[in-house]
Amino acid sequence: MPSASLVRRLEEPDIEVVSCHALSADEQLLALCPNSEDIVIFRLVSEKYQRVAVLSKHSQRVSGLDWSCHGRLLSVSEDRTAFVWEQDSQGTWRSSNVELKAPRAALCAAWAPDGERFAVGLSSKDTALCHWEPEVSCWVAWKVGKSKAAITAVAWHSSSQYLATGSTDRHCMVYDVSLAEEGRSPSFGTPQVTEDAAAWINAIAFSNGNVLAFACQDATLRFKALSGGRDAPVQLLRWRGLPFLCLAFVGRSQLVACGFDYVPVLFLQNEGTWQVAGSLDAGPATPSAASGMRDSFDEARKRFRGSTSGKVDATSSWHSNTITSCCPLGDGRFSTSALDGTVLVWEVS
Amino acid sequence: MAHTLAPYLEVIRTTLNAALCLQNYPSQVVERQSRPEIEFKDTAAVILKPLTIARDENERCLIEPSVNSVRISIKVRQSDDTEKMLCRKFASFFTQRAEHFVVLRRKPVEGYDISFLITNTHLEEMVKERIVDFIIEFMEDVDKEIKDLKIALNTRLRAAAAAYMSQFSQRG
Repeated sequence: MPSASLVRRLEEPDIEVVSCHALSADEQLLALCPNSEDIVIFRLVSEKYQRVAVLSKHSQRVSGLDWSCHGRLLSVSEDRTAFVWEQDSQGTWRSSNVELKAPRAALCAAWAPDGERFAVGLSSKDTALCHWEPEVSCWVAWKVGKSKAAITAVAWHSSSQYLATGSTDRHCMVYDVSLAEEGRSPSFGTPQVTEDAAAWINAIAFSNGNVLAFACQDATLRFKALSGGRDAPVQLLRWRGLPFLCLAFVGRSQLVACGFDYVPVLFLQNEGTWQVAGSLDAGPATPSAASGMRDSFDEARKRFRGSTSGKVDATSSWHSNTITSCCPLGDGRFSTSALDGTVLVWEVS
Repeated sequence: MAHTLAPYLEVIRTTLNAALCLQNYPSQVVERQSRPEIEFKDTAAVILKPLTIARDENERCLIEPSVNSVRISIKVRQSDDTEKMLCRKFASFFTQRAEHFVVLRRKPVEGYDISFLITNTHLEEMVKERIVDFIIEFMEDVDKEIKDLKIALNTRLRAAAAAYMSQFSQRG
């Protein structure tokens, strides 16, 4: 039975819904969107996240956040804009413009692992691939791909040479986005792998071991080992619960998937095949999770709830609503945020 | 009757639980807008096959899922004209107060009595289990209420008729 222990928990009284979040790799900075046009930045001060800034430059709901390896924050919004935020020496957050050329909303965003470029999935059925243009000092987009519906997920290969996109037209594509000496390489933007998924793709992830994983709305997970070439077989795993919305590789052979089930689920690779290892969430009653006071209160509350309704117990898992985003942090750690307004940091044990 | 209603509602509950996996989906057609895809039918790719759950042809439930909204339509059993009238009055009573019910649609879908529209914003504000409970309870209550109203109506009619006829018996 796999399990994960809770490292940190963030719950703010004025944040009722977290629509997306991003945690920097060193876990010092946390950016989240409380389902509005604002971005709230938290800094880790003595094991507690403290609010340090509120960035409000977007005019509609922020749909994607991501930290680069250089400490820059990328935010994209449904108002068709994106900004790259950087903290200057005085500690104030400065934004640089992104020429996104998007006629419709931006849905998801991801920095390349090298931190030089980023990809934004758009509702206008294509992906914007942005790079820094020093002459005009702003980020300029190149469009990649054309699918039949909105791009709902993007993921980078660890080499920053390939980009995977997932769309609601049920197709997962991997594009070659490599660069040459002067700008784009001749093969830039050509599809390398096309996979039919039979349902909308909610999330995509690339592992360091060249495995492409994508989660679909029909509660399945598909794995493709790209080391086997573009015609490598796709392994299909069915989950008995509800569909997944986000994926994170926490190790070379460990994948965490979260979604409408309120719990993170672990998948393990064993001798080349992937298997369901089970839910990681044992609920707030685990003794390692919190202090004694909190425990007894939770238990009492649980008993109270259990005796009154007899239906789905709201406190049987840490999250009490749909998990909307998930960030891998390395060392078997990952963070999740949910519609119940909490952000949790987990460690797979 | 009661023992066949329970599995019908149970199937609806399970289907709703699976259908209410909604996410935010800004429109692909109009910029800066997010609208229920099941109502506008902008993008064919994000609308799923509708499901009908029926006890018989007079009592059924239509569930139409899409990426950011689910439409649930209910047809209540109406075996005679009294029940038809009561059901019409009952439905119009609710639809006129639709804003208090949040998830209720002002106009039912063609061929059904009452429709609900649940969007992803409702799931952000409310607990999914509670919404499903509300719909199931609503369906139970409508049945019960119409049955009770019919009995009350018949009792009143009988009393009124008896009172009216009594004057003739006094004269005669």
